[in-house]
Amino acid sequence: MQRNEINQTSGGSAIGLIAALSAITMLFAAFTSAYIVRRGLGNDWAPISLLRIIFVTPLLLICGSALLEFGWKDKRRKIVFLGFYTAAFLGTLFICAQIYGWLKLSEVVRIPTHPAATFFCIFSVSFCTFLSGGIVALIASLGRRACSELHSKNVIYYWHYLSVLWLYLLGLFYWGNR
Amino acid sequence: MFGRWWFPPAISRDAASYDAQFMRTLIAAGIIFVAVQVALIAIVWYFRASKNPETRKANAVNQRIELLWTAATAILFWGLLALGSRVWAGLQFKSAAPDAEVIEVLAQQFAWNFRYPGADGKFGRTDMRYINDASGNPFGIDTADPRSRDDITTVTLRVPAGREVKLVLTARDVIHSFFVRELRLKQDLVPGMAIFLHFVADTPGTYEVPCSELCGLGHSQMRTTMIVMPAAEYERWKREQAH
Amino acid sequence: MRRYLFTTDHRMVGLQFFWLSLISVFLGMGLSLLMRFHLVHPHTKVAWFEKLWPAGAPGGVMTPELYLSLMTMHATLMVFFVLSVAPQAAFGNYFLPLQIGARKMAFPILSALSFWLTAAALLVLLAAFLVEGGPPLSGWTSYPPLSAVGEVSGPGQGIGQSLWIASIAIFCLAAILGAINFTATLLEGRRAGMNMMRLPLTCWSWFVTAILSLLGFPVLLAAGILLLLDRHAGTSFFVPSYLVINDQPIAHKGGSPLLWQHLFWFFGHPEVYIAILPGMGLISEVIATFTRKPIFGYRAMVAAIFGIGFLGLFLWGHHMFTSGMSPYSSIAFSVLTMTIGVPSAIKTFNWLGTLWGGRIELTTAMLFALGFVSIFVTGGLSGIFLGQPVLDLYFHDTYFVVAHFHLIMGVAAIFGIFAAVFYWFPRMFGRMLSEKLGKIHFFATFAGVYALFMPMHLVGIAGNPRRYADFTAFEFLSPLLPVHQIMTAAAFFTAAVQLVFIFNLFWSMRRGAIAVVNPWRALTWEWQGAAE
Repeated sequence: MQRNEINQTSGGSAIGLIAALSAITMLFAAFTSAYIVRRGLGNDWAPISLLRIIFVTPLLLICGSALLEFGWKDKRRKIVFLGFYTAAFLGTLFICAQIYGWLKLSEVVRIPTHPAATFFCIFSVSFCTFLSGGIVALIASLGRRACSELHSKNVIYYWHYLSVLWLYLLGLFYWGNR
Repeated sequence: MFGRWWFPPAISRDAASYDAQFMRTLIAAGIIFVAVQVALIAIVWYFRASKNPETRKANAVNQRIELLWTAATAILFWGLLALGSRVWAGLQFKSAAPDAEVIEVLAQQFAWNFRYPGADGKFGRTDMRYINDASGNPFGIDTADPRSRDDITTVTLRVPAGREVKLVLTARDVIHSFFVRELRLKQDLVPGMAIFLHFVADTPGTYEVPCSELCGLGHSQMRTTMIVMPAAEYERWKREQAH
Repeated sequence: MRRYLFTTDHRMVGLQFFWLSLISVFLGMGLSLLMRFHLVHPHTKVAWFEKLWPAGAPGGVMTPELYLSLMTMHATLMVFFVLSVAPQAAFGNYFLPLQIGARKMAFPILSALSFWLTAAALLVLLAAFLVEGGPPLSGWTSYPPLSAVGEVSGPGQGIGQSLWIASIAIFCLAAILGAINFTATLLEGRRAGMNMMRLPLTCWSWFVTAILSLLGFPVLLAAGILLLLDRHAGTSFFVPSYLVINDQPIAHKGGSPLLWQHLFWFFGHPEVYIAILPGMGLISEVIATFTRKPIFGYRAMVAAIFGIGFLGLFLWGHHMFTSGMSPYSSIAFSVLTMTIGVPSAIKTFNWLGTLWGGRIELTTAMLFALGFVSIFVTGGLSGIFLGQPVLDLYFHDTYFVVAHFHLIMGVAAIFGIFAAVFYWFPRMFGRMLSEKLGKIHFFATFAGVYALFMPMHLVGIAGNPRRYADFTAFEFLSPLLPVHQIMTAAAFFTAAVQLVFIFNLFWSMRRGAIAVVNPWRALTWEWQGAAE
């Protein structure tokens, strides 16, 4: 493939992914700075007790990442597909866990007037939005006859990014709860 | 300089320092402005195509010239900033003197309110429950608090000439901004924050105070005055307010 | 029809963006004329005001709230839908692939999606004119608590403000998608032989602009989401406790108005570089073409673009010197602000250096390029006043600031767009614009904008606050009215002159002289193909 030709069938581009990830990172950076500032203000910052289930959730993503990575390295079609489907399934479980978390939280606190809870929901909803996009991308890249290498690699990298991002967010919540 | 189309006369020493810094910057900017515009016109005129039928050779990039004009610009800009920093430091990094006259400023849509602590030198407690504009209590002073008995609430700002004044600025609805042109000072009043501003006004007179942060439909009508009074007159005024 | 409307062809998308920004600029200009008229005739009855805005102009006299909402819409249209669209999305989508020898942008679907999201954002924004209460009056900066507490703080602060925020949020998405496209195209789409250090300066500018967009727009999006939550979900990110507005206690507590300002300006400052950098890139190409020499100091110019972009991310605090933020951070911000004058100066010197020894052809495109240099310097010089915190204590929120940003954004950036139109018209439409009409347009506009904005510095020095609906309440403002009258006259004159441009544009599209291939004998690759 010549350098000037971007493979249209794959729609993939490493730079495109990096650019998109920069934008997503800046979004979360902005929310983070709002989180830090809001926590430091005033005296209405009460910690929220995150359900234990929340601490299981990174495992769902990390397993997904690992499966995707090993499946890809294996190169056998069936294993690759297994990796993709499992990661997508784990991702869906993740979102279900988040929804469960939001519902439980709203029973315990009134979310809008509880800044820590509000931020948890903002981060979580945003994250789930991007995760949903990732799940759709995973399924979509399986649907293609010729699963272009670049495109699928991008989806896998995206998944790794999300895993790391969620770990970071949990770390932020842990810090904010102290 | 241009009469009313220019700064009003400065009424404090800091304002005079401001004017000096402005002049330095104006001179620098003026020289650059004239030099660049004249150079632009001159170069275009001199090298216009009708006069130069042949294409010239590209001028070699002169590394030294590039470095020279880059350095010159940097030195000029940083230099100007450094010169102005002394006034900034004096205003912002130093607190007001302990014997400064403390006055509270409360901005609201669309009026200014000022409060003096009175003879006891203490401000009475306030609470938003007691706010009642109609009966002249915009601050929400708790009248049960003995310290509030001698508090003076006004709609104009009176200050003594030649003495340091410390303003405690806040707002109770949206962001406003306190601006006295003659002092060359401006400070936003932010709800939820108490911001300090100190100055010494030397020249007696009445000076208009226009709100300088968009606060709603009455923004352009939000006016008060700062009245600088000779110190003795100021003390007499304060005594008269206490009843 | 469907094929044209939802096209992914980069040239068609570029044109779609161009027409969108052309509509926006005329709307925005119309609003500014209404504003300038009102400032010098605040009590005059105008019958059709009442027809258009029965609540905002009862009896045909514009109320302050109507003035402020027109001002808000004027600024929003100009900053977002003109200056963040035409230089980058319109000309960039059209010409980036051509200049690098690519057949298309990296992700053509993103081009189309970006356009349609921008169009949707514009419709949502304009819908604010039609809702009860009208458009918001909080300015394009939309500071809370004014913008966060709803109708109680003023007319237009209800639905109008929410529509405004929604429009901006959609615009952010569009801009981010476009920026992803630009970065990928530039880094991966270049034809063999187009090394990075051979790129035209337009391409470097589009690249850095795209990076700034990637870093800045998400922050604005985050801020907008938080503001919408404050307005509709009962949260308190930006609204502090104990507020009483119009005798009504406000239920929010614990938020910080300054948080909004930091988030907004973290985007807002790179935004102005997003608006000007593509113009600078184009000016370099136009000047090089019409002096028949390569740009002087190409490497320094590239470095300067990066310098401006990089520094531009760290100076947002100079919009907040009087905000109540720490005076120590003010020093840091002002050092960086003064520093950014250096790469800007480098570019100016290099433009002069390119002109020196050249064979200068004064086509209309070149005239606008030279006008850009002149105006950019003038506007930039007022920046060295504003960048010093101590001087800004007086000038903040006065017409001095309005003069500064209008010269740079409202004139120089627009001159960049005019230069692009006159330069690239033959490539876009296969015909030539009338040089005679172009020169009339240029000289009249150049005179008009100086006549309009130079006196504005004077009233700023006199302390005339900005965002004032009228000047009737203050004694010190009455003597300034004659200056305002001059500015209003200049504004109407300059606006009228733009009709010459519009006529030239549309007439030449149909009846202009057929262009030869590469009529300017330029060396960049967009000229190597036949015109469409």
